[in-house]
Amino acid sequence: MMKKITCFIGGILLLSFIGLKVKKNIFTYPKYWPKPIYDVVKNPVTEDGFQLGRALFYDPRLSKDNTISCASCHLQASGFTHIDHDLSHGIEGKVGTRNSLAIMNTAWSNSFMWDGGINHLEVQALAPLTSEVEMAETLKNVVRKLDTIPFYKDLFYKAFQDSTITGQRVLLGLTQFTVMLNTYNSKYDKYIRKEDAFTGQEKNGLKLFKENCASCHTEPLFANNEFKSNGLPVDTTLNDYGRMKITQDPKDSLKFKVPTLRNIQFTKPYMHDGRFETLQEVITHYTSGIQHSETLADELKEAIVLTPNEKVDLLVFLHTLTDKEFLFDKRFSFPKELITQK
Amino acid sequence: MKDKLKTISCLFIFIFFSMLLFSQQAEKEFEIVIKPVFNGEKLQKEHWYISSTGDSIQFKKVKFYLTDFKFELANNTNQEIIKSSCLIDAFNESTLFQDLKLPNNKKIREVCFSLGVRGDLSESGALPGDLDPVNGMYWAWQSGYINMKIEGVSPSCPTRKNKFTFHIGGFQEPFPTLRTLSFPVNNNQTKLTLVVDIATFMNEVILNDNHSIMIPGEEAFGLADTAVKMFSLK
Repeated sequence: MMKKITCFIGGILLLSFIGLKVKKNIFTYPKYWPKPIYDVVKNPVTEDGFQLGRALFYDPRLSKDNTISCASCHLQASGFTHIDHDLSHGIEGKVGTRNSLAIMNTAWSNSFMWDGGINHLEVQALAPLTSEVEMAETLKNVVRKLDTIPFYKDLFYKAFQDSTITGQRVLLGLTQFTVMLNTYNSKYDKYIRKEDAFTGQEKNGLKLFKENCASCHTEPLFANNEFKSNGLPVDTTLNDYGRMKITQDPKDSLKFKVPTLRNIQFTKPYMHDGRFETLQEVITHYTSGIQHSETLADELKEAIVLTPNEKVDLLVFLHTLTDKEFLFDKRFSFPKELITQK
Repeated sequence: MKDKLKTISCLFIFIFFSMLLFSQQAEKEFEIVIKPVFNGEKLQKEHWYISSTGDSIQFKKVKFYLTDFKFELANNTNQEIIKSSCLIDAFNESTLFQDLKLPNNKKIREVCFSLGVRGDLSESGALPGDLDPVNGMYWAWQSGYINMKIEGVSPSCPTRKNKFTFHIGGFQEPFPTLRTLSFPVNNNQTKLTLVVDIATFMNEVILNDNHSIMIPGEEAFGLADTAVKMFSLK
């Protein structure tokens, strides 16, 4: 009898020990979605890691002069991108050369930035962090700054069971936040899950979308991890040839990453250089503004013809990709603890 | 029954400690000493040197990765070493001595390693230790490790503050910059002194024309071939 009781107590103690040590991986996604590309087993997303990443994401101390945070160019209400600026700006009012990309569903991307120069989500943050026209800081200096702040020592301890702050842990922490910025509760998603109904106009918009746009902006992520030349003439003030800068291959001239269209209603301005202010302008470009070049996407070589009513239906459908639960989810907003922390 | 259990437990403990003892005896230290020099003279920071092309040169930074150490064995097999990525800083003494564990009971004939970081590690996200991007040896705008950095000044450079900047890296075809090196050793040898003569590199670049490289590509590919020539045995 005593033996049984001892075993029982031992078992309970062991289970509690395991429970304390193994933290729950909070990364989730719809069952009908493809498997993520990012390995959330290797860097499991825990509540503590997510909160660390959230604090880092909103903290301007990650920039050289402590004025610009990741959130400065990636605002939640606009799908984690920069609105009202064709080209994003960084410290001291310096202006970059591209429109900031929206941060959404990053676990399904195999490369990052408009030219795909970054090959892994964990190292993506290095680019804006060290860019002279963005945050202009070094990872080494970020570690040095954070190391002096007890608030962060606690957060790192909770996230990694060790308060030692390293460059790797800063990047892993940021990743645990950005990989959670997943949007799948738009009207479109609810329609797909049969939780909501589409109007006739929205249904026709979806049909037109599938016929004309979905080969690149592929459901359910509305992106395809490819680089395409979409017939935009070069802005001669920027002379940005996109992917070619990375591959040094003329076949990649004018090719840019196909961005997601999720929350497109709020991610203006559009295109890599933010040249279009409205979705109407974007649709007009694809129907009557394509400039042919040797690298033009095959999908755009034949003109897309839409009547004025069809253009409206397509626009109405694009608005069904808005996910207000995501755009206003308080878990992703500025952490108030940052103001009071010491 | 109790006695039987006791005997089995004792046997396990004996086997465990024997294995531990055996494993400790089965390894010996093999030390690699790195000696950065310029034409045989010890390399010093911000000291003036003259290259064979007549350029006056001062070095501010000389860093490179030595990775994937392994011993080629006498029986034509090889023994990989667990400690596999070392960031060497020519001006930081603590990085110039690398201890490797050598299997005691095996005859070795060669030490092999790479200059640079393997391509798969450049696609593996944020890594710790010497591979942590915090060390400034990882490109931010185009993912991948910088295998070697040589920075300094020379009046021959028509650049701002006469700076030269050689950041050699890139892992993708057709211009990968990882290079492998191998050096013969005797079976009884436990130390290898590796001379890294920066003059060999600087003698092959014309600083007036060729003073900066900070991207992967054909030029970096060629400079990686030049960089390998710096390494020799004492």
